[in-house]
Amino acid sequence: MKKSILVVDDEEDTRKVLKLILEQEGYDVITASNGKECLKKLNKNVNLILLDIMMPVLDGWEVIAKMKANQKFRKIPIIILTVKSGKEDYDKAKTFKIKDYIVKPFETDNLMRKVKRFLK
Amino acid sequence: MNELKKAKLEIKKMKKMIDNQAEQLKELEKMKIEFLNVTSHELKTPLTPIQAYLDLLLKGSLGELTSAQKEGLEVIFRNIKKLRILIWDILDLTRMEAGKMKFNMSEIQLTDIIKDVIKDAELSAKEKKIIINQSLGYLPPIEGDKERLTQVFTNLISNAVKFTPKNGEISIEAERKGYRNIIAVKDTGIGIPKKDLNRVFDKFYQVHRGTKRKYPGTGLGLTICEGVIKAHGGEIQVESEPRKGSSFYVTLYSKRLGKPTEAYAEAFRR
Repeated sequence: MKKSILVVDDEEDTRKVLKLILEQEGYDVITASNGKECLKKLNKNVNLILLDIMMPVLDGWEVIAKMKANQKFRKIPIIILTVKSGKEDYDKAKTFKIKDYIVKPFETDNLMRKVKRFLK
Repeated sequence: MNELKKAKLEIKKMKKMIDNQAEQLKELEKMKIEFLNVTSHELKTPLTPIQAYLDLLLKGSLGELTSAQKEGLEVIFRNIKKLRILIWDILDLTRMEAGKMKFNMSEIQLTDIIKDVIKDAELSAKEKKIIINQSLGYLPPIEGDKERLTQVFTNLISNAVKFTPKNGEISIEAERKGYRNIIAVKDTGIGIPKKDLNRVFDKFYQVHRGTKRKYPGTGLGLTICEGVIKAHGGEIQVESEPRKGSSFYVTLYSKRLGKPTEAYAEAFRR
């Protein structure tokens, strides 16, 4: 069965290219344009989330907090994919025990290496 | 008595004015950092899909390319990389000034870092037929941020290549003197006039600037190098002679002094 990845980013072009890259590698991809949509589309079959931080309606940190508070979703691995690379952001990710953190613009090979590590 | 009262009032008025101006300057500094943060974020966002699509195109994932198409895309790729470095430098400087630069400290081998950086610089040196001489003595492991120190030596060595003319030489030396680990990057380039020597680490300062842009750059690289080295409790110095070349000396101590961000913040406030 194909592994499923939820891509959450408010930039349409970024969602589009991420979907393309991941589908070419054989993954099922669901997309969401903000945190609220992400929580709506989240289900038990999602194996990994690629999550942007700065988004309208509900930002990435709020999504993480809600997921961590939910027994059903708290164990789904999250890779943060953001332009934010300040110390406070890394520290915040650490306190949420986030599995990985990729700074945009990313290198496709680096992204795929990290995705594959979670979805072996 | 009246005169004294008048003078006191005048002093009080002036003090209030100075306080107001100081407050305004603080506010301006805050606004500048905020502006740089927002601008950098907005610049990085469109770069993400551009770079990702370029990756896919160059790998042939979206169909085979003709050699002319590939060449064109490679030019775009190289220039996107330059743009990325510029944005990164601006962001780094902003973080430094706010005392918010992130440091991942671990035990590192400086000579390994330097060797890797030299390897990366070999291609651009070869293009200019520049010889890279190495004299790397043993340096004990130190506590430092591998990525940031790689950034420093990449900057120093690529500058050495940039400012050295064709068929020139650069030397990279490392030696240990007690607790001090000294790394020297020496070029045989155009050198720096004496009057500019104490300004080379100033932000946006470029010694060889002009309309011809013979040596393109932002003038942020050395500022960032200095900030990173100081954050490690170290020092960076320069010696130079016009038309003969420049030598940059980085000193990093085997025993780190203070926490990196604190050390930097202090250094920056000087």
